Amino acid sequence: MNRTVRLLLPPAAVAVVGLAAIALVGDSPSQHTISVMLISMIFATGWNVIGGYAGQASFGQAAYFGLGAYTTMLLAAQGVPPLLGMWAGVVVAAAAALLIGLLTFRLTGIYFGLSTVVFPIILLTLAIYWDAQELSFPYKVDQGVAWFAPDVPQVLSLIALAATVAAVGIASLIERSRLGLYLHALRSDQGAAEASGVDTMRQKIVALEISAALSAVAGALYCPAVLVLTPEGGFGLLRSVEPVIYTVFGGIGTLWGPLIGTTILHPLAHWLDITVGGTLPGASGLFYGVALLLMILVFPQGLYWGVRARFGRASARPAPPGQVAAAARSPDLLLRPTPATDRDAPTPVPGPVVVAPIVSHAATPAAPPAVVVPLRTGPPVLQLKGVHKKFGGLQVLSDVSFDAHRGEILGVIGPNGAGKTTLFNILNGFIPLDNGQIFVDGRDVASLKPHEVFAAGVGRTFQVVRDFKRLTLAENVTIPARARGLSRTQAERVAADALSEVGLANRAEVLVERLSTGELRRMELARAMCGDSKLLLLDEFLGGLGGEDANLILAVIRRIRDRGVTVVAIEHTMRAMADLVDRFVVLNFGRIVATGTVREVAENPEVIEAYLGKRWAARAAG
Amino acid sequence: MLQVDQLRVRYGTVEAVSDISIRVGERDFVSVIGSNGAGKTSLVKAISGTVASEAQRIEFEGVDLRAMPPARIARLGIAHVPEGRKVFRTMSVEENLLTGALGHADARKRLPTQYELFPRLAERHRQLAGTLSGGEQQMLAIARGLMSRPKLLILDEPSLGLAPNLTDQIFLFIQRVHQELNMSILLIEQQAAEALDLSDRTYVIESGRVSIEGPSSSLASDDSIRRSYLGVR
Repeated sequence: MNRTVRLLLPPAAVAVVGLAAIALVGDSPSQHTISVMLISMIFATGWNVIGGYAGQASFGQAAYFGLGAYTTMLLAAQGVPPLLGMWAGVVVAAAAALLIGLLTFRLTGIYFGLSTVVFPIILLTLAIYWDAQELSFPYKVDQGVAWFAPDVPQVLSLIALAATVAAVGIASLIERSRLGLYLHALRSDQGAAEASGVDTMRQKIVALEISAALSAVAGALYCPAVLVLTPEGGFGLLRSVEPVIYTVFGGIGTLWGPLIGTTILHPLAHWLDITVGGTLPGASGLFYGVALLLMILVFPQGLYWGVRARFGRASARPAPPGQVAAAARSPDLLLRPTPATDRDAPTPVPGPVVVAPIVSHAATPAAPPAVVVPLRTGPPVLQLKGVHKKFGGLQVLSDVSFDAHRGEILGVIGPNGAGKTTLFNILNGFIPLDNGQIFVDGRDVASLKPHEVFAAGVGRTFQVVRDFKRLTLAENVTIPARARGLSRTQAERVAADALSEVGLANRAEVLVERLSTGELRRMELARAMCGDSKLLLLDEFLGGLGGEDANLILAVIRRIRDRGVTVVAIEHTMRAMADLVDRFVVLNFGRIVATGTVREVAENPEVIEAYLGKRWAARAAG
Repeated sequence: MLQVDQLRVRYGTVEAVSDISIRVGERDFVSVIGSNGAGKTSLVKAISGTVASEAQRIEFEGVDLRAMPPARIARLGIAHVPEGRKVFRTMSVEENLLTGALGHADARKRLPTQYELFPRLAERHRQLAGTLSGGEQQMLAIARGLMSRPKLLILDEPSLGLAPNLTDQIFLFIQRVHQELNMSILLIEQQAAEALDLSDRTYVIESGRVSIEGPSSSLASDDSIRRSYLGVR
């Protein structure tokens, strides 16, 4: 109910304000300004989907705008009503977006942005080459709305308003949907999103398709608005820049940003063109530049975010560590028995409701206090066979083979640069291996993408915490739960359980920016658990932590292990590792130089020399 | 030598340091321990002037450091080796060292002392800093700090992300710097056992305040410290 209201409020508001404006202006020439402004809003909202929500700064949106415009125009010349031709334009632009997306989404950051510039330039050249220099819109007064009834200016405005309302509705839907959450995650950290089970390539393509479709609609409506279509007007560089400026000015990655930006900048630029445009051609372009520059200096995130940051509500300050520690040590959390139901069943019984096995809901005071779980037995959960990896001429991993069993904590140690993190990156699919095999529960995962490895039951944390910014703790943790197909309510419940598991239940609604390193590390653990993982890869899980924070993390890891999850952990703090780990694998120069218990590896002269140092070895022996 | 009274550091609405007062004397070795987010890094950043702060007093050898730009604070004789060994990765070891003595005409003459202290860096003086191992980079960061011939060396978590043998080495170097160069040291450490072992005096910081302070040896035998920071159950 509440959700539906919040979903429909923005498009409804736009509809009301738009209708009022159209009615107020009536027959006057300013009606034309309104329709052009609405078209820009559609275009900017379209750009915001890919450039804002997905964070992929596309500078080639004119390709889709122009394709929409040209398709509509060329079909109109053949007698196809433009209101119909517009849909053909949408299809053409969407097809182009698929092609362009597949080509360019392999690139990231500035290289992606640069590569997108190319496409409108190609299309511009083609349009000139095929002599489509100037196409005129067929002026058909008697053909009614399908030809935009050019004698009644309100008709175009109303159609443009309907499209704007639809665009805002789509944006509102994205903000509240699974897609929106995924896009937010991949914008914040693509690798972490993949590792949390999000198929980032697919989500980016979906976002680009929506963006292209909206741009094509804007392009199609642009034809009756200007009546003459030129290659520059459709595919020009300024065309690509326009939605970026409006959105960045108004506020990127929010539904209101493109609307605010267009409403402020568009009429001003238009007014400048009329007044001084005669003596100073291109005055509006100059104005855009100056406006954008000022905004970046004052509110780099755009007007919406800037105003929100200045006048928005202040969030809570991070709880003092002691307090959190006390919460996590409460008997309810620590002594919660491991329920037998999920653990002992050899295969999960298929049923309509998916319940997270790691994080159980079945805990009741009446449950038996301890269940004997056969740990460290049976076939290995993780099996590496002869893994090799070279970076250029450097052999980073050579012939790495080991097994890890159910409920085992395996420590991977070795000097800085021994290949430990590379090993993790290969295990979860970030980088391909050159040679060898990796099995998770008997399934070969060596050639899978990270989100597929995640789906196979592998969760991981990172050496430097990789959180999804601007989301709450609960939202961060919900992402992997949704990525494995849980419904919103199920995912939220799993996330809530995982958070109380790591002692962060009272911080669920706090933005991650407000968390301390210790809390972030525990958030990452909760996030990795929400993927229903059989195997957790923990990379320097104590990095920068000491004291109580470290103790908390260690307790959480033990509890996860007690549920039958296999843990493979990299960490330098030997004092903690010696206590926690069942078995060590020691890497040096990409080779396994020793395996065994603390005692066994601490007595190995090669390990002492390369890694432990004499002081520690003496301590371990004594 | 260094005197900080009632220091307060805020980031927006978040208060990282509420009320911290510390002292470092001539030839003192002082360590600061505490859990994450307690405000240790903010404390030293406030001293070296790299974050804005409010304080009753921040004085170094009688000079008021409040509102002084970081570069001038450095010239007074405070070297701050930041967390995460931030060396200039695309510059050579020697170039990195020379940046530590910018503006000093005798910068080159200061190199041999560092090479003597850190022979490893002498071997690699032409190598790019980015290609050094983690431990070597940390040595370089410390040596670069020493190039300005500071009176006070501030080290922020020098053991972060280092293998145990390298951690031992780094702590040994810090001890040598303290003893052989008679330098005052302010060490921020997560590894409380080592910090207590090396230093003369220790401050324990919790939630932006000093919770305990005293001679390191007596803190090391304090039960609550042993439980919270030394992993003794």
